[in-house]
Amino acid sequence: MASVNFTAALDRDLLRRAKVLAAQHDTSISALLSAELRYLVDTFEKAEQLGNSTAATLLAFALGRLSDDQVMEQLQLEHEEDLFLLMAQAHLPMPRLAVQANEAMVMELEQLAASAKP
Amino acid sequence: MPKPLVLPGGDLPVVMADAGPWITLAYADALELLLAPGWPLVMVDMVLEELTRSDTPTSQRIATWVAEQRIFVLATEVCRRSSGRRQRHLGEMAIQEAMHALALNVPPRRGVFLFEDHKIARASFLLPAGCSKVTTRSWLMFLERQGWLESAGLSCVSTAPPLPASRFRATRPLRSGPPAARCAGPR
Repeated sequence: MASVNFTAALDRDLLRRAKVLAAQHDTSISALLSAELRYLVDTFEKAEQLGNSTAATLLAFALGRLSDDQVMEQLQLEHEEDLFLLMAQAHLPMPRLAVQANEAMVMELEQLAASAKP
Repeated sequence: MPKPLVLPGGDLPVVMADAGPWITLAYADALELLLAPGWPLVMVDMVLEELTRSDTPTSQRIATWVAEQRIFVLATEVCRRSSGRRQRHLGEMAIQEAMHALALNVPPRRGVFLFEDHKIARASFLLPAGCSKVTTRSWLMFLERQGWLESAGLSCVSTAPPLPASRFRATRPLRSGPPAARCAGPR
């Protein structure tokens, strides 16, 4: 199948880790990206054909467009762990805060550690 | 006059985690990372209740680890009064109660509260002075920078899919008794 080049923006740290992973497994970032994208697209197309909206709901959660409450209600999940497992099954990441927000929390913890040695 | 909060660890900050971080770390077989800084870890009773009332891939692991490590389980009014209800957010309500208890303690006790990212983003929490709300990811980054976790471990815990899909199963009730019966709050 013919392939084409395209440009995309990626998180710098994610790209670094992807390069390490690709090198470790003697493959390329393009191959990794294709494999995951293929899985995602195949899953969504199949779900759509079957009239199943679960994949779309999970994607909306991963992208921060639906809250965990909304997803759990829509999918009638009782336990948080079920949502966690469904996301893993769908190869989708849990929603994440911005890098800067996490950095601020790390700094807060470092300051706490400096003042509270066991 | 509220009773003073008696918690382990002298005046060290207390670590408490919502259900999400417990689940994430249990899947990564890395619950001991909650103990890495040497700060006392406290399990909120309602969170333990939510984590273990159904038979899930991590429920037994967490229950066993909490028992083996003799993790202090904090009794809350929320758990005592929940009366077996399977209502959402009871764990978070109990954590909020624990936050208030820390802040009202004399002297106030510092607390570090772990949540998954999507719960941090929720604005419904009132965060008292002396309490820090952090994500599992930031906790792991902190441990890495302090030299308590190798960077390879960080990637493994924070990004690993929890289990092969074939092991997925919906949760189901583990016990027949009312969950509130296991809450240790004053009656």
